[in-house]
Amino acid sequence: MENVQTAVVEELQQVAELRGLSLPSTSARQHLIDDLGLKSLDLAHLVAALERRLRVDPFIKHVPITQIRTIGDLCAAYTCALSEPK
Amino acid sequence: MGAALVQALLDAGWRVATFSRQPTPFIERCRQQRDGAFDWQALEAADFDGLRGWVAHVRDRWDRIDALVNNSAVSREGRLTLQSTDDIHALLTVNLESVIHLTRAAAQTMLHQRHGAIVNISSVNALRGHTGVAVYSATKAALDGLTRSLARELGPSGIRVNSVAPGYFASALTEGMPEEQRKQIVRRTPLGRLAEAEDIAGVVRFLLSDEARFVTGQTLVVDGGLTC
Repeated sequence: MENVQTAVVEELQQVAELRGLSLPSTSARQHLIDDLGLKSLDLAHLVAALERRLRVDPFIKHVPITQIRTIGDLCAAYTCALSEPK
Repeated sequence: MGAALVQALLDAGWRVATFSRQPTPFIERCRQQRDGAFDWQALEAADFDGLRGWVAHVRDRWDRIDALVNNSAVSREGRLTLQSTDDIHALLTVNLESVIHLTRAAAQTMLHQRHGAIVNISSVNALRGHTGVAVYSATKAALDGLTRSLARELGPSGIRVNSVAPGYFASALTEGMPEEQRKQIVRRTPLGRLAEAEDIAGVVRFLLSDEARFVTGQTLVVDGGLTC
């Protein structure tokens, strides 16, 4: 199974690059909106990319997107969804 | 209607995936003759998990989803105060809720591609009041609202969303209509006839095409002028 943190960070970098945001380094505590400057549309693109890559969407049933504030929260949501029986 | 849409899009060179409860002779023919460009699965529109799985299946087969036509609908005619809870539930589930779930799943793939077009099949009942179709009309008007909001939401990602509001056309939804009522509709229609399914399919094909690349958030009425 692919490493969730690697997938999240790589897709985050893709989204940031398309938005012209600088993302020199990332940490689990970084706030997606306040620290990285993502907007809701960026989050939608990020979740779409991660659904395609990890084949799971935690926000259908498991977690409200409003609970996701940091990179760590996002990784935890995908880890939890991937651990659920399909 | 579904068959006319599939045929129009296949003829225009699209690869078409669709689902329904059961196969029809038309579907069997497409599977035999257009296998490389046609995909069908047995699926209930009310099976929301199944809808997500179907979108994943289509994406796995063809790697992308460039268009979505939301055409699932049931009709349960009758005055609202005489309608059963089951009928109201079926109308809301198939005509509206399933469309929202399917659109959510397909739009995610389109977001990733930053390209796509969605057409919701609405109805003139969303625009004009008619006795006996209150809940049906509510679901179709809701689709027009969905269309406009999603056009705003998805436009910046290169995804267009429009709806088509057909007038009355010969289908299972109108076959129970009394002959005098059919004649009255024809008399009130400037173009002097009921719609053919192909009239609607041609407009859908246009809205999905690059010819409509600057059209989004619109409801295109295809009713021979009945509501003009």
